[in-house]
Amino acid sequence: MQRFLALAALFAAAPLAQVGDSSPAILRALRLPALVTEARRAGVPEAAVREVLDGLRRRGLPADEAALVVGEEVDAVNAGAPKDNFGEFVHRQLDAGLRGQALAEAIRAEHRAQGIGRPEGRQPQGRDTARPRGRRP
Amino acid sequence: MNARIRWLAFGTALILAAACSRPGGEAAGGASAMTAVDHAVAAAHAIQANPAATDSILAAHGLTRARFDSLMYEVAADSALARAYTEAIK
Repeated sequence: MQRFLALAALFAAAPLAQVGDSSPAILRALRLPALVTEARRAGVPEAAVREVLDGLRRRGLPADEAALVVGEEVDAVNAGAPKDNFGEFVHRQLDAGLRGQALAEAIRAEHRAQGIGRPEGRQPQGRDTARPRGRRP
Repeated sequence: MNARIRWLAFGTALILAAACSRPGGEAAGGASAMTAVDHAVAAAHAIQANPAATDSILAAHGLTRARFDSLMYEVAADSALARAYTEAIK
């Protein structure tokens, strides 16, 4: 009986053990297609969108990091950054070796320096990606 | 007579081989594209419903982390697929 209870406890605990650190990253990655759609709706040229995605993928960035980068760029475009420059700064930073949060922060800092983007301190994780933001067609 | 049958069989085999190896046929491409969105949407819905179990949900959908990343990139890169995915996960 004790053995049975121990086994039952083990199985009950199993789902908890599966709660890994990957969850936030996966949830962020799920937003990548929606963020790219938002960029397209904001008027970013298809070629620029493809170039950014290809660059991110070619450099081996996981989809959650790509979502961070694209989210920053979309915010900048929605705030008035030139649509044709979409991803230009990103490529330079990727070439310099920046990845993940450091890359997202560099993009944000660049946009702030140009007077573009969201106020300091607002984090991209808070955005509601189920409903794309920005200008509507 | 035998030679004629052999030539007919050879010709049929050539036609079948050509039909099967047609690269990027519209029907085949469309079917696989729809599968990618369906696959991504099914995984996304399951993860959104139970974010604490992402790893096991990915496994249940036959996805490794790398394959999942690849799927997200694939859907995002195609404007129609990305739009369909975005609408479906609203």
